[in-house]
Amino acid sequence: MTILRPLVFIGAAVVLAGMPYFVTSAYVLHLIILSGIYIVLALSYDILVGYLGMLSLAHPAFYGVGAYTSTLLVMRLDVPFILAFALAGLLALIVALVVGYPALRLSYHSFAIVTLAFTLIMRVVWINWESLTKGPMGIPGVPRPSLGLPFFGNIPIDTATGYYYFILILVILTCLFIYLMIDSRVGRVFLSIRENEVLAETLGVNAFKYRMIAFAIGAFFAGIAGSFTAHYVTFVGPEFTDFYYITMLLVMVILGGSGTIHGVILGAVAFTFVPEYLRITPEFRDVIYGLILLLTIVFMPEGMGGKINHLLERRRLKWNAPAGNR
Amino acid sequence: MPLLETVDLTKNFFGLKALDRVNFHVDRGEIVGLIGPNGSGKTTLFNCATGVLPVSGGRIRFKGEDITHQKTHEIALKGVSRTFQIIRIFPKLTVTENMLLAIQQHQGGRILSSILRTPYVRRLERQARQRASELLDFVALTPLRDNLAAHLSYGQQKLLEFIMAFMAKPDLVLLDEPAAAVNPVMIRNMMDRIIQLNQEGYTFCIIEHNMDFVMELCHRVVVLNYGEKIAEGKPQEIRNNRDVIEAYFGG
Amino acid sequence: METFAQLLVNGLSFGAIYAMVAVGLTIVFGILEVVNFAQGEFYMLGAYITYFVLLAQLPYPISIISAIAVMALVGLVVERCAIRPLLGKAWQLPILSTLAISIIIQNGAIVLWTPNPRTITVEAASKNINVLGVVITYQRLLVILLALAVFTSLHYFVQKTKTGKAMRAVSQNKAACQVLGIDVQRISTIAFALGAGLSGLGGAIVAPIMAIHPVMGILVVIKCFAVVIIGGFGNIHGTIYASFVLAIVESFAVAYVSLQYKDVFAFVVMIVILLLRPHGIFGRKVGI
Repeated sequence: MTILRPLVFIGAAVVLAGMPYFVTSAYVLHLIILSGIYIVLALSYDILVGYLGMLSLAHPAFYGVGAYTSTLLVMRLDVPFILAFALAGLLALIVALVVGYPALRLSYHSFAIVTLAFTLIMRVVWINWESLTKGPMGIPGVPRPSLGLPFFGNIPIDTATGYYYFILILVILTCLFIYLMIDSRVGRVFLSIRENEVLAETLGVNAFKYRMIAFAIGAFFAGIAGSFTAHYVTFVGPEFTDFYYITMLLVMVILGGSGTIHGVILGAVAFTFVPEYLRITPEFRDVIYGLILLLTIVFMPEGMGGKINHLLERRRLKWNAPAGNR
Repeated sequence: MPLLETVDLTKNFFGLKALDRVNFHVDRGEIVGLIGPNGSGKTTLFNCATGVLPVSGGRIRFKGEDITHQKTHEIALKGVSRTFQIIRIFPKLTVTENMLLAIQQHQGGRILSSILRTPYVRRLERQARQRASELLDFVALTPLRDNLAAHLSYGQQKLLEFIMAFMAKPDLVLLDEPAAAVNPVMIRNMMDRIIQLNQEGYTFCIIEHNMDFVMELCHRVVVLNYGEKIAEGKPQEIRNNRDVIEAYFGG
Repeated sequence: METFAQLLVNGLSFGAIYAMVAVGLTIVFGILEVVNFAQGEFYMLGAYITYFVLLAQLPYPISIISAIAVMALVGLVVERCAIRPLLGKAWQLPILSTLAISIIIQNGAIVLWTPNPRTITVEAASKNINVLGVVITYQRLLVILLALAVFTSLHYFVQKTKTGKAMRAVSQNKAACQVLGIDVQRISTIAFALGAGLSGLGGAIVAPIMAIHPVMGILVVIKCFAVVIIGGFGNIHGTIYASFVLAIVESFAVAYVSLQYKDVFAFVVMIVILLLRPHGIFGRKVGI
């Protein structure tokens, strides 16, 4: 078993590094890039949902904030892409702090409702603040990224291969950060808040502070995912905040396995590819998603990741599906 | 100066007076017993003192500082720890992880440093694990240190909750019915350990119904009934106090 | 620009509708401690059922009764299959379940009936009547009177009948009820079915007034969430007052302030109130 592990890692590394050369179909490569975006979104979403047990419905709003911020900074203020990218994440983080400050004091149920309201409000703002966002039509012609790095000079990203490596790096950094966070003292505190908040507070944990941190970090990653997407599809519009994204994220996270990194990644990749091969109308697809979500919740709430953990008999059972205790 | 004191502490629940102008104190080094019939306000007193419940009137002071309106975690970090009537532990975490959580916040350490695992934080972790080992040894729970807390027996969980309260070397330890539903051998063990810890300098306030426990351990006993303090004094005095006897048997 | 009185009546009639949906939400929350994200879809289905019954040339009262009955049945099935098995587990699961159901019903409606809005009129109800100098349609009058009737009977039901008292008891202390032999599961099912039925009724009475389309539920239910938060989870009276206040304020705000941001208005009020009083204006669960 121990020899297998490094082999698997090396194999995965080779596949990931050489993906653009293995994959000949531009369409499939596009899907892979798309799944990369979803991995970043889903993993960051799961920080709040899976580890802290808070049902936030605001993630699509932060995604939209990141997308619009980056676009407007680059197109209106000539800000270099790298800076706009970072600021997109940063602004999403700040918005999360502002919204979270009152919202995270509420009961879990009110929090869910308020975050949903926030997402809908943002959507109304995108649509109606025409001078800023060009309204319901959105902003086309978003320039492709060019990374102005100090030593390497200006690296334009305008090929699928370029985008692939860019999102690959983002995915790796996201996974690394989240893994480091969850496995550290901080992750332990998150779990303690989820498992028994009163006890955690009695032990000196400021639950509110840690919730703010989780909310803000999640928003940051959603923001940079939004920025990447805007400069990839060269378009940004109110669709970025569609209710559809909430559905998608929930299915990916819950079916994938809330609280497990590999499960969520699996969920994200699976549900990027599955809808593309299901040639049906969007609404019918959503009915099926709803059914999948429902069946998963009732029969397999720990998701695929949880099932995998069970099967591998790892003692990390504690990381699985939300099992809060009030 | 008393370690913990309440001045005219009052707590109302929709018109029901759970605590009615209670004046109560614990001095450093004491083991104070808090007794009274069910519903007399003992756990409510603990909840107010630890910031779990908001206070309706009066003041609470810890080490001379007014903590009446402070939050639970703030008070905890000042040196108060407690156990609960119904055991509170983290069932899905291991015994060691439970212990580490009991000291982590007191140690400090910035969040970013924790994520990046700086040498400083790694040293804090080592110290925490060391302290956990000491306490696990103290109650002979060491073999179970990597087990999930949920898999422990009731008695073992109670022991775990007990030693968690000492991880951060608090000034004051509040125990809520530590002897409840525990077999006599374990009760004896617990009493011995409390005496030992008290000699090491820990101050205790204990809610208990087990009179032998209270009589033998406590330096002083405070009696509550219907939210009011009705008696206070040495265990022997309380035992013979007419009001106390009436409260337990007459009411 | 409509007159003051007309704006008021407008507010009252929408208040009645919000109240029906919101009271359903608040009852379900009080008893099952679940936020029913599918409540808006129940409302929408109520409207569609009414539409189809009217299309079949049956009288309006029949359509209202059908809507209530069918939705109560739907509520019963949903509770049994998708909520009850989850009640013992993590609190997020039942809520996610209702979210999933909302997704299924909404998109199912689009698939079955197309997103095109439909309208139907009830002949008798479109006629105008002069009440105290204000000209309103019979339909609006019906809405307000029906709301009065429904809430009065609800009050009677909750205060006087055995089941109603049991419901109040469960919302206050579930564990104690189980010990006392009250069938908590049955009460939960009744509560959910009641909530669904109320929502269906809301849809039924709004069908002749507004366009019917699959997405009509979302906007209404979001405002009803705001209402429930403002009025207090589980607090029927607070919810009813908050519904009417919100609807009336909305009515005037649209006329005097802005049309575009009308829907945002409810949330702004909700957020402001939550900032000042995290437990809502009327406080926490005081029992039903």
